[in-house]
Amino acid sequence: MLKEEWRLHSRLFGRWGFAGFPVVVFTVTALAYGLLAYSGFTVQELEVGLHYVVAFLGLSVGSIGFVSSDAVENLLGESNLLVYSSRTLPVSSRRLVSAFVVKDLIYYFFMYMLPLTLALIPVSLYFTSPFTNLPLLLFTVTGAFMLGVSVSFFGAVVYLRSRAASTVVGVAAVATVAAAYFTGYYDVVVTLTPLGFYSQPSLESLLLGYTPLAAAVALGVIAFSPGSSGRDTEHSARYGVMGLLPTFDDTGLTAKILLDMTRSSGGVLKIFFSVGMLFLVFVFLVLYIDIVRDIISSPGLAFATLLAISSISVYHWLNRFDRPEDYLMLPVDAGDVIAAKFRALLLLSLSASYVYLLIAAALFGFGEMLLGAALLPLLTVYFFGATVYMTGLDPNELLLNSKLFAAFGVVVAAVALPMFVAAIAYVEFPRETATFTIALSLAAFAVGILLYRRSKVKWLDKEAS
Amino acid sequence: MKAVETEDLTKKYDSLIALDHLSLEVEEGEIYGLLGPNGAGKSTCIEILTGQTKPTSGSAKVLDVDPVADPVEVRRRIGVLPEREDPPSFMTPREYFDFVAEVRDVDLDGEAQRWAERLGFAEKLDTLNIDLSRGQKQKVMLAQAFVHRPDLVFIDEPLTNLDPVVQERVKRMITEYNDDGKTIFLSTHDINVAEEVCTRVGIIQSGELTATRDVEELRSEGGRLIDEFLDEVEVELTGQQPRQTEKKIEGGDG
Repeated sequence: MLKEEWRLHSRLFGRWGFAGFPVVVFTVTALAYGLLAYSGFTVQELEVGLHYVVAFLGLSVGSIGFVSSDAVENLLGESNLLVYSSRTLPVSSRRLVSAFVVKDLIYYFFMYMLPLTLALIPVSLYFTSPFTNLPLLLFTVTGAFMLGVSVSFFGAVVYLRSRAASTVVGVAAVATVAAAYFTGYYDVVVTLTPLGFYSQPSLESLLLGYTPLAAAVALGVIAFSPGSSGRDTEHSARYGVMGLLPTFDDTGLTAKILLDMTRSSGGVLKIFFSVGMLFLVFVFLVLYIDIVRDIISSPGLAFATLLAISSISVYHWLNRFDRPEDYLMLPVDAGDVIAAKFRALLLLSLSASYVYLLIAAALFGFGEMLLGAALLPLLTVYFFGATVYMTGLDPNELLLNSKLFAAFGVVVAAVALPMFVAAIAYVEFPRETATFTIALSLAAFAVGILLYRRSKVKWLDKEAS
Repeated sequence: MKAVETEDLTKKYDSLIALDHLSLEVEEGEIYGLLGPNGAGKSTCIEILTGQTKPTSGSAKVLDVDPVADPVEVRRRIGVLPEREDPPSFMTPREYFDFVAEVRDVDLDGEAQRWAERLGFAEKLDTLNIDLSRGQKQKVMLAQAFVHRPDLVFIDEPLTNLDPVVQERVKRMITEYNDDGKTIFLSTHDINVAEEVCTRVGIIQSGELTATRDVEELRSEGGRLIDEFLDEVEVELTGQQPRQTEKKIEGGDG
């Protein structure tokens, strides 16, 4: 599987295109660390922050559990030769899927964990700030990632088995963490994660920190039941209902894409989950981490930027349940499909984003969110335009291409970075910052529309070649 | 107006020549079969004619429309059954036909129900496509190519995954559809299908159209399509001259 994965991607992107991916991650991360260190963060704080970031990255990756039974077809099924072609061999499916997961973890380690951790070294050297020993950091960072994956995967699998049980588990988990935080026992929760072992390495902290991880992995594997969606069951016709939504599409494609999204395992909840993940991390940081709270003077601008960026993950979901081949026999082209994805994205991404902005308004005040709420759709269009222009209808695969990823990072940063700087500078220069962010968002919107329009031509040509 | 016309149609993938100066004509009301072994270029030919891919050189017309210049218009006028595609996973067949009708902007007027009953999957109309068997998926795909009653239908390997009873039913349905004056362009490697269903057959191998035979004429001459086909394929396999060089064979079309 490792060899086939390598061949698959190196054939798609070229050997160096794929092998260079960790180098790009390293470079981008080192630059980000540098900026944060320059803002006042110590390397020690960055190390702790890295554990949180990879844990939430893990939560996001583990949300694949939401597609559970569909995953058998779409992720581990016929379309995935890595698993499917081995089904004729005398190997159990559980072992095949386990091998697939191990292979993925190895790839995640080399593609993300290693470069994300190593990127701390140049920052540490430049700012002559002490750096924790590398093997320990790699071990605990990888552990934090795996914890995120296994917790989210377990939660998603429970959700698919029983909505009520998942609600109980979810509420209990959030209540436990919240209670621990407000009663001053938050450190106790931390000791139950690899971060606890990182903070105070000892045999006891190792056992304490990794036992919940092992338990989450075991529970997830036990609870995972592919194909439990109920085969051959009847479904009432919902396509017409989707057509009643304000899609402004007379081709019927948007309704079909929305139906795919709602019908696939996890429904629209997976959209709210992936949009909310990054957002909730940031809310947590702004609420409870002093240094972040001090420098972010306009959380509304920062939240809107983050939520707009999360539309990229919504676009990933929108391309997970269909293939360009589904439309080849119909009187539509790639441009029509891209237009339909755009409409579906606006509907789903903006709905989820505004729900989260409402939550943020409840926490930080309505006035704080007003500017961000106004700029959100403009920024969303920009990030969508950039994504669709660069990756077409296959964003999942192409984002593993190092050259493309680097270019994509620059395009995202070109707007996101000034927006975050504006969120910091807002308290000093409110009027100027507001004017600047409005002008930037309008310009980004225009560029987004341009890229979207050009993408229809670009991917139409590619489709037919 | 010809239903299909191609001239010197060529498609190259790097060093592979999938189609090599293919020229053919299909009259309206015909059931034309493109017969050839695996990898002969049949699917590539259909993909070009239905605007799914562009030729490297040459030209084509489908119902007088250029599939390279206006692939969407071609697909609006025709029906297509691709060889390896399944219906969308998260729709039921009923929803899929509603979707097809919406995209094509037509009223199916109960046609989907009729096709489902004829092909024997009416009781599966509300089951998700992803949960259907391979044969049932093939039936759904067959139906979507016909439900809007196009003047021309392209079918790539029509009987894949179907049991013998359904195969016979499909063959009958194709000929009945043709009785209404509609044109069928099908590709197959199954000589029996070509012989039983088609009015005219073009034999293709290595991207070249090596012969075209009127099936009725062949029968009246006492010939068999299998012999024609094996003669053509023999050249490829053994490098020997075909036996039927003595016979009068139309090389290419038109």
